Amino acid sequence: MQIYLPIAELSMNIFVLFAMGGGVGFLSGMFGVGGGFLMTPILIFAGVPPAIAVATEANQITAASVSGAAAHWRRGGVDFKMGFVLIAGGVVGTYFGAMIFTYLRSIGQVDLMISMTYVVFLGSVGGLMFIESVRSILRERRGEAAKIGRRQRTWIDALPFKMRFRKSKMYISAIMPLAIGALVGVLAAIMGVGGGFIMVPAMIYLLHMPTNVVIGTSLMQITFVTATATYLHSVNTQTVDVVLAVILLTAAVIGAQIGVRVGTKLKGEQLRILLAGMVLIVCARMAYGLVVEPAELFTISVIGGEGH
Amino acid sequence: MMTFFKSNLFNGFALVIATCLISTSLAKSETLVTDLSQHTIEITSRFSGSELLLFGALERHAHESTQSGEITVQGLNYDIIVVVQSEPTDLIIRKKENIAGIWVNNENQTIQGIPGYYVIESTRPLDQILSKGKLAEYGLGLQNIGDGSVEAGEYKEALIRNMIDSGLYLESSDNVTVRNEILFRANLTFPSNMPVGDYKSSVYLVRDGDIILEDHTILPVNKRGIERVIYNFAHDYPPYYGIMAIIVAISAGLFSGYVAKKLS
Repeated sequence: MQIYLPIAELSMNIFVLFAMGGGVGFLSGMFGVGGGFLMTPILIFAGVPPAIAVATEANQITAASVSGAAAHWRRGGVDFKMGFVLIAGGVVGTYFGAMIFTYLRSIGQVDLMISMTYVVFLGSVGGLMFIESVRSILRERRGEAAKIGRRQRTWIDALPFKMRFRKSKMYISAIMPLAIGALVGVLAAIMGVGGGFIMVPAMIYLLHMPTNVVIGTSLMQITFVTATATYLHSVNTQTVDVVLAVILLTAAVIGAQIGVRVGTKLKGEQLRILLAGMVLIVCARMAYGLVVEPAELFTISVIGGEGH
Repeated sequence: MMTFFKSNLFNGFALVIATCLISTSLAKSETLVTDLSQHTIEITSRFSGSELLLFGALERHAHESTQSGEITVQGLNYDIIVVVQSEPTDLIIRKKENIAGIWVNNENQTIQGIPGYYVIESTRPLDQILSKGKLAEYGLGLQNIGDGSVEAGEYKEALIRNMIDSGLYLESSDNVTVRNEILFRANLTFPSNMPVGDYKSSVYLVRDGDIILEDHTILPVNKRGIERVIYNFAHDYPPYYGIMAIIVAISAGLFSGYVAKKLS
């Protein structure tokens, strides 16, 4: 059964869309990740114009993260003050990201930028995750305990504009969370991702936030930042396809429920190594598209609209 | 008067005039009646492309009655050309080049006033029906697309090739069928990525290398129903559309989270 997507202006098989949304939802439930970094490339591989895939994904991630954020908030797992600092940075980052996106789209380079940022970020994050999980598996085999490093004073502690975050029991400079928020905002706008894969490690390793508030706070930031990205893409380029977002979202919620159940049966290290593998596969597929000579060198687009 | 006409000389003269009358009246005598199987194309949520039939009848009036009686003209060849095109728009063609190992959009060419959909169907290949000059004059055929606004070269070839591949352009002599030299029909296919707007469908009747009749109709192509509402909303009120998209996402997210919690 075909469904016509009003903004993408093409018709796609609704079952294929359900399978894609459900599959990514399954993986995101299993690994506990947002799934934007998988969904956007899959949409592009399926023939959705990259600009529409990115903007629509931002919209879908808002939906995917809001219930998680609400659940953590009920459990008291959100540091609101930290959340607002991250959001403040995130909104600024999203604004610049959307500006870059609009500009590159007007000169026909947005597809290239999306592919390149995916290759760089997925390659480095996936690579680090892979090495890290292989190491910890090896350590476990040798029977060593993971080294727990004592929190050391770094240059981050020397930054000015210190703020007290009661919930996280921290007294740190606001510059670092603002910067992290801004980076994630830029990525949300240009990659169609929530940015959890950057923010969660950054909150743990750079800000040294307590892990019980990391997920809830990052989900809160992701909800707001992707909502901002949705708004800006709607205003600047009219590339948010609500119909596509709702279809993917419905399927992803179902997939995620199954994924969570499967995920609990697997060990943490195994999960991480699988996730790293997936990230690297998507990265490799994107890189392949960049370096292999395309069958058709020319692309046609309608000025002021999206190419077909 | 009667004596006047009885003269052999004047009889011959009258015959010449009559012949002239016949040939001019022949040029005007054909009439073309055409119609479309559908007068609009509506793009709805289930839209996955469309097919349309353009049909018509040719009245030849070959038995022309004149003062000098019935004259039957035999052996005239008619050809029919059917063109359906969308409103002219501006397109940009980009060419990828390998820069430092990566394939990047580099040079581009903008083409103004070119249809996003252009299908030309004829009873025989165009070059057998009309001369190059005539085809160019009427802007017929993919080579004359955009009324010569596209300069020949790799960009033009790429444009035509890409548009043919996506089903938006076609030049064919296989889809027009003529029955009893009177009735004709042309099958037209429209892919799901067709641009919207007022399309123009034209039928040309060709005889002896000349276009003797043409008939044009407008074929509106519009999004309908919820698709139209969403598309217009997104393009006419972008800020409100953005807010709506956020509200939809947040309520859908909270609702599905609630359902998921109840189920588990």
